[in-house]
Amino acid sequence: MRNMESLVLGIESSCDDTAVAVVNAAGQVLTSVIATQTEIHAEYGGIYPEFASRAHVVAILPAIEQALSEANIAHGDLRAIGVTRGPGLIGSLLVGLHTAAGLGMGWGVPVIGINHLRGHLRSADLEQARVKYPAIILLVSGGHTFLAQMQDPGKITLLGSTRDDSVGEAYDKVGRMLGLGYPGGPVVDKMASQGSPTVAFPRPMLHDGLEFSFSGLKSAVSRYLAETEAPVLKDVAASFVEAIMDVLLTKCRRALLDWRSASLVVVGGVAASPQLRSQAAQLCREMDVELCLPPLRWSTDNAAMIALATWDYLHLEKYPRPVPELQLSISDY
Amino acid sequence: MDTFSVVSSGAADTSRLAATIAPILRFGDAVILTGSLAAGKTHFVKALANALGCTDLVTSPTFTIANFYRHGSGNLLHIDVYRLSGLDEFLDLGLDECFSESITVVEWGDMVAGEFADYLSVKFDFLERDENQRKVTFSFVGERWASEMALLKNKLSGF
Repeated sequence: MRNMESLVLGIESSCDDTAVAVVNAAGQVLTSVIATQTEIHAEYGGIYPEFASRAHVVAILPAIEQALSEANIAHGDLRAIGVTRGPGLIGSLLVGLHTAAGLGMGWGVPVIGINHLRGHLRSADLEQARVKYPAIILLVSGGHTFLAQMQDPGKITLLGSTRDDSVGEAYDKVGRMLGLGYPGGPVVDKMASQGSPTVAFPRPMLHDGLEFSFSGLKSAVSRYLAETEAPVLKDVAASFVEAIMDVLLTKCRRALLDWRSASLVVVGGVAASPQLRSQAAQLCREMDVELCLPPLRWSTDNAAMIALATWDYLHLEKYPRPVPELQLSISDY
Repeated sequence: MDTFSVVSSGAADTSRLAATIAPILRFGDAVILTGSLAAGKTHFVKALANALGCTDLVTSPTFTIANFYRHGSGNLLHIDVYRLSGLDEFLDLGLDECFSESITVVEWGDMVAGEFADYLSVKFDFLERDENQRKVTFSFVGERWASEMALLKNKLSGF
């Protein structure tokens, strides 16, 4: 045993990337390895799960070896292995879960099945404790869109989630309608930054609580493109992004008004959006709360956030078994 | 009788359509949904789940591929194969193990329809005259639906 402090090994394989990380109890990241498949997917226009699951099988053991080697530790240094048990794709999840279960048995290290969503919510505290509690947290990604209130790292209340499509899905499908590549987020944001928001797209559920809906916006873009002769695509993109931002920021403002908060945290892949980052900063100045934007590398799927969430589970003495649960909600451990 | 169409005047009408079909469905049934982006496929499934008494929030499975919603002693299995590039990938997901205990609904389901011995096909087409209207076309494959189509058409005669 080389390290006096105990460490957690995190494993994440819920969607397209295979990720392994080692994190200590303070949230310091000794190493974070991500075998990404974005390049493979770019050729085909989406995340293809069977590619993902085969690639997980190929990538996972080398990624674990690399992580242990980079962190310069041995398995005897591990207090626990935390592995994503859901939500996610069953085939991809199973690769991580089975690997973790096998290693845990062989090494004599406990294995805990972690809720991927709790990982995302904790990602903002990786490397340093950035989140001022109580906090409002917006998770915006391909698979998920929701607002939650965090009284402390372990006490999470779901405030509202999407009733249909996620923000990331809206970006990807509108990106495809506009003839742009995958993933849709960065390319749509970039095109939007060159256009003007001249089209009045709907803001679904804008005045309606803290729930979200983006399906109607996607439909409106589709209709506009079908009905308009020679549409100015950059203006369509700008109008779409403006509608998205209007909805996201209105809901964040409402949540901050409803809940006394010290900070607003924005995580998930869409947190990379320059438009979202600047408008959230403006909102936080107006509301006099701190804006917490974790570094972008922690906003997309990674294993360090899973490892940090694992520490919460250990502190709370929650030990879900490492078996897949596809329909986990944020309120589940 | 093999194929018939009705017109839905909008989202609320499509919900009524789904609610009319729901009582006919039982575990082991498959419904294949087709239609372009934003045609109303997910909306149809939401309404179907609601009519079946599922209390879970139904969201788009485009990213998750398959969502399971509790329904009685089994599931409403909501699949979206939009991001799959071929049948092999679908088969490798192993979802077929759940078909017998589920009502299975597949968005963009043309590609995988051949995997079901019996299925009801529901196709959504945009109509030129009104952006909210959809032509909804029903057809089927297999014995299960051969006997139900007359009943279904009768039940949907109000549309």
